[in-house]
Amino acid sequence: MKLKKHAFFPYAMLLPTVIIFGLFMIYPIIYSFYLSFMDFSGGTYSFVGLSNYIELFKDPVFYKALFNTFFYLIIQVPVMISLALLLAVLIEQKFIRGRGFFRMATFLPTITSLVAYALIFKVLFNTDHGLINYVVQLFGGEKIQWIYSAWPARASIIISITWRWVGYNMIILLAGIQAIPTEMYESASLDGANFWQKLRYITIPSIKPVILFTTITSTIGTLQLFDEPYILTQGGPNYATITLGEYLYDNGFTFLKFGFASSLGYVMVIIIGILSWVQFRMTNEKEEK
Amino acid sequence: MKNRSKLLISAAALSAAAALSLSGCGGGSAAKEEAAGNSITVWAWDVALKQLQAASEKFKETHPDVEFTFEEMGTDQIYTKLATTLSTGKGLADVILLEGEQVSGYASKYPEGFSELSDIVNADDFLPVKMGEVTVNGKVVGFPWDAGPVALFYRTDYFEQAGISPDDIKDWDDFIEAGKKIGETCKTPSGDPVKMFPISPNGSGFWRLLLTENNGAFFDAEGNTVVNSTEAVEAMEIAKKIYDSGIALNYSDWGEYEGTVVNQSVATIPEAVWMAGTIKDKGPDQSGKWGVMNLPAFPGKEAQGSTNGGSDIVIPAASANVDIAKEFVQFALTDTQLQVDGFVNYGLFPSYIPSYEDPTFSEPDAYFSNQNIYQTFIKLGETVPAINYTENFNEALNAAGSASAKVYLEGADPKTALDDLQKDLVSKFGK
Repeated sequence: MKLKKHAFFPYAMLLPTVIIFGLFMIYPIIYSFYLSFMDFSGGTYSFVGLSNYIELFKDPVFYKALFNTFFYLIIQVPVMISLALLLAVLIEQKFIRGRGFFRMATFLPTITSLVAYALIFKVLFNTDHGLINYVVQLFGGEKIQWIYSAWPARASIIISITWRWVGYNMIILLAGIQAIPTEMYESASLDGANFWQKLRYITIPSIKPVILFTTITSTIGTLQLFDEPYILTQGGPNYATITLGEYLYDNGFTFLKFGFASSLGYVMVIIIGILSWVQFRMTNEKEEK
Repeated sequence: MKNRSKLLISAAALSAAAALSLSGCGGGSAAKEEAAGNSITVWAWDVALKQLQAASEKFKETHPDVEFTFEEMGTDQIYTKLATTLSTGKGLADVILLEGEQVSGYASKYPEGFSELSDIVNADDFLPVKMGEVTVNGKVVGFPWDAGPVALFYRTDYFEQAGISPDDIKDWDDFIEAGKKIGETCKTPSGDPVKMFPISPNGSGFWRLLLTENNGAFFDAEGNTVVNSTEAVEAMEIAKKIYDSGIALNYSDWGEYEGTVVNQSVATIPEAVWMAGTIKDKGPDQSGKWGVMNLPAFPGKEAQGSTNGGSDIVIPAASANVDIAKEFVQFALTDTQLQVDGFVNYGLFPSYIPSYEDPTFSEPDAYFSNQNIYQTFIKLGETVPAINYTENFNEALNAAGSASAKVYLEGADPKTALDDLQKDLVSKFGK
């Protein structure tokens, strides 16, 4: 009896979290599912069945956004994780001095104000006066229209998000690397292993779960990507850089098509759900081995 | 036992307080509304906010008991907040500034959202293009404020260097020729060739300017999509011809647009009257080097005006202070001296026709080479017809931007691009 009364106390302490979570997470999730079957016009919602979803699957812009999002995902996530891993390994090398400085320097982009950084990248990518085109021309290349042609615009988005998030992933991987016992490296050195062999046979296998964690969070982050295309290119030129996240925002808050935007949100949920499930399966399989 | 229940209660109270404080974000203005019938909260941006503040000072002279709260918000902030607050009617300001093109979108999505203002807006007193903006489904839902008649701002010094007289530029073909000459002869302070005008190739702005000049629009009077009309195709063909001639300077956002004034990198800017304020603000050292002329005409046609932007004021129906807010808005937007100050100080071109009588509007402007730019814009403003924006304007604008990018950047044929745009929009809007 006494125990039961005690058992109630933790729930009371949890109550604030549960209320806030319910109000701001659960309720919107359910309500937007309901909205995805409604059409908003003339101040009222009316039930339209699946027509938002049908309209979505007929919408060419949706497919462009889907393509771009997956393009970013497939190129950017592996590049960024490899880069983060390489940086983490390099920073942990014995001969590096001023480690704290390098750690700080790589992590700074993550905490930089989004607008400030986007502004600076716009200047860097400027066709006529940008630093990047200056370097390109220094090496005898032609000026690249970073913001005004499709593939370079996509590349500029990938460069920007990689710059912003590589330090974040680097820190997580670094924590993983630091947990590896140094004896393993010492005995490998005695056996005559070189840098790459140590990386391949000791570092990477030891931090596999950490690599998977960073991959999953980066995948979800990229699928929900909104800020960079919204600020750098406004999704243009001709929808070449628009993402699902930005298209959802446009439909919801600019076109006031809340029903359509909700259905797009649910399609995103399903895609992210499937991808996460696949990645979790991969983790489990590896652990079973 | 006693202790425990005390703890329980405080935990519950804490959570309730947390929930309340969170759900009340933006509650600042909501609380104000409940206060009484004599407080007014204003959402506006930039110079319009400053002008409304000046108006409130003057308003207080006759209404000393009215309290004002001004919240400076950018256009994006206002639209995002409107989208969420109009649904609930909570947390809205009493006086909200909107861009002219946006009024009909919000008013048709939320038919009961804004107060009817036909009792304080006399249609004959305002420019027809502005009355078109605030009249939605036969109801006057906004108070017309500054209008955006478009003319061509030009650099007199660059024109002189290249040996061009403004009178030489009759149509857009002349404009291209002049642009080439200027590109060959003039250099910016940093040594680059001067371009003729700035353009955002990812957006539909320049095409829309030409479209309005050519008496076209996105929608006809019944709200049907007409983006591939003869006028529209003509406008896009001219736009493409101008862009392909290489006389345009690309910009991608407002900062870069202003930058063309700061860096003196363009010889002309085809833009609405409010740009005069930005030019004065960003190029104080360029006083006497700017002039204003009419937009070039379509080859073989009469010269015409165009319009871009300008703002209106709406009063949410949910406001507790509708009456006093109406009184204030009417005062702020029809008091002649305030209209003159707004125009001279901030480039806010009043759409209240009786205020044009003021002698200030017949005086020359020293910054613009002692030209009488006000009369130029007043004449232009009266020629621009009303435009039917409809609730689908934003979506059409967005899609038109991508059609323009196709034409400028990917070399698409204007007619094909607009036919595709028409098909796309009709399938989305059903008309």
